[in-house]
Amino acid sequence: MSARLSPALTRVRALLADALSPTRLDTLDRLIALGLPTPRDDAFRYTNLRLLDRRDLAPAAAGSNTTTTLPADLPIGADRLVFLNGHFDVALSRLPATLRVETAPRTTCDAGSISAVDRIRLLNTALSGTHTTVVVPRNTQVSLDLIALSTAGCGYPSLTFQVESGAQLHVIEQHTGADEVESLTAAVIDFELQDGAIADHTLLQVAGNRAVVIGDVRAHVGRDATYRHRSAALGAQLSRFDVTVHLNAAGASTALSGLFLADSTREHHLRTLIHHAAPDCPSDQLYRGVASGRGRGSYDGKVIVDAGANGTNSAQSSKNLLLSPDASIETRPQLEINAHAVKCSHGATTGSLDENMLFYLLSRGLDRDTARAVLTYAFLGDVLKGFTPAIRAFVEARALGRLPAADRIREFVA
Amino acid sequence: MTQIQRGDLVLDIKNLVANVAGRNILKGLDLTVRAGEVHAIMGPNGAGKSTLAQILAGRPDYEIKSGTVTYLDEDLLALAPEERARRGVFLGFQYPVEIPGVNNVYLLKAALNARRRQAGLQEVDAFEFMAIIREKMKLMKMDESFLKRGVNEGFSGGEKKRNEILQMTVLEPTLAILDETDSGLDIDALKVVSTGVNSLRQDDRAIILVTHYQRLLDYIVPDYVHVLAGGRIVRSGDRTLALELEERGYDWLVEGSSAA
Repeated sequence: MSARLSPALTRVRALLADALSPTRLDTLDRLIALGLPTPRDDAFRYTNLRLLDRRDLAPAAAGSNTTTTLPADLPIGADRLVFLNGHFDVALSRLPATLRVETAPRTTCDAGSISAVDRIRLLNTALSGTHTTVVVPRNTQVSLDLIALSTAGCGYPSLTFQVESGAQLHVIEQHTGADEVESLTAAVIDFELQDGAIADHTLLQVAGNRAVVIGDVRAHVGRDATYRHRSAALGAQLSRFDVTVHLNAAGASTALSGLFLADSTREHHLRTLIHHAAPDCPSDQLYRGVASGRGRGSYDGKVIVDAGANGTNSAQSSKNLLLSPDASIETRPQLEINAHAVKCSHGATTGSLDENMLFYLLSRGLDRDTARAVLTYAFLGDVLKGFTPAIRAFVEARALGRLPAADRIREFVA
Repeated sequence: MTQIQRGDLVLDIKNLVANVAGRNILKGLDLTVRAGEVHAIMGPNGAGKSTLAQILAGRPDYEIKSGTVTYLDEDLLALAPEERARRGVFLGFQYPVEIPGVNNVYLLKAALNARRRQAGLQEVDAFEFMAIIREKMKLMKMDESFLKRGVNEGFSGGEKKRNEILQMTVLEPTLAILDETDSGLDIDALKVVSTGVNSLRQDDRAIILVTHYQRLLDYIVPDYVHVLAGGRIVRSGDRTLALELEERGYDWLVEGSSAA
């Protein structure tokens, strides 16, 4: 395939030619040869990154100043890892003593054949300053927030969570920043779960209105280990998350759920890949998407069951709601089954509000805007229920704020 | 809002002609309902009974070809469904829809306050509302768990009908139209539902019962019984007409209608 010349990549290369190490320059050149992913790449068929052409991709400078503060409305706990414009920021972070955190210069991406998603990884590798590894030691429990704050330019957070055997990690990842900042975040986050480990990963994308947020999340799940993932994409001009889960040993499990709200001209794209590589692994996916105005969204969810992965039990549900004629959401549920004794269900729907429900609410005296907002809120209910109460309250406050007639439906929030 | 007195005109339908999906269902229907009255509308399947109920509530799928519907001196057909509800028109649905995720109680509180705003009354707060709904739930023999559930979510057929009547007792409509409220009810549920409806029989209210069977009318005794067949009222009478229908069926009236 002939690569599409990416003007932003050539510009950043010219700018950083003297600053980057030879290995990183080499990585950048490999990416330039391949180009950024485009809708011609199957994995990006619904996501068009051409708005990056006009942007400056150079990483923002590291370091916070005294005026840098975290947004007050985030649901932040006691311990946190803060990435300011892509750089791990010690001053803003607060880490529990049990945690081992190591930072090291980024090494090259050693993938042999490079997929479209890997190219985001190449971008991150070439332009991120350091790679951070967080180790949750055996049989310990850690809860922390992972905050990606954008105040300027582009950030390339790069992070691996190693959750050792029997350990539990609860992490709430939050992408945030001011509305007026034309930022890009291209984050690469890996989870390595040893036997019996649990990672509970909440991902809240509440970035500023002109932000582009791209996330490549990959989890490698060991024997009887669990990777849980709950997401809400509410902010940014465009966000795209790839969530890849490898269920590598018997009894490994995963549950992914999420919602997005693409109002105005916002775009939210989501791609999931669950790879059942071992027997007796359950996986579950529950996604709800809403688009209004000229908003766009997509859900592209694939489940691959390897030969020998018998006893696989996989469920996938993606329901999507269009609130205006100019909104669009595309879905593609895919199953690739190479084993025999498996149970897989999948389904994806996109439609508008149910007219019978709408009439029922009108017949009880609710005005049309309120009735529509109430039904939209209810549509998201299954996913909202999965969040902890504090996160749910935060997401509801943000999500309701984006719905028409938000103020009038608050009292329906049970 | 002026006080409604017994005998005041609540609903006046004149020569109503209406289509559904291009098919003519109502063919010149006349009906007058006054405050303090209970009217039963009976008739064979497909006669247009539910069509009439839905048109009065304002469902958009119906095309009104001609005729007038006056509700308390207003042109009912010119009002949006929500405006009708706020002015006291209540439809008890034949098939109440399940709305998962929308809390039953919050919907009902919003409905009551929409009605109260329209009437120039102060809205009730959550505390006052809970007192109201607990009393009505007792009347309808509904348990506490109901408060936490989504609108009709996972309700049995009987629970859905009971919920409709509960809503009616809270909203205290001026005109209640109950569409086949008795269908799918066992005898115990029928008694509970009837108690709820009878508790609302008052001088300032009119009730229209749409039903296929006379059984309901043993418990809610109507002042008038009408037979709707072929898109119009073909016979009106008192309660004995219902008993006669029970005995003779509808055929003799339907034939009489086409002969006339």
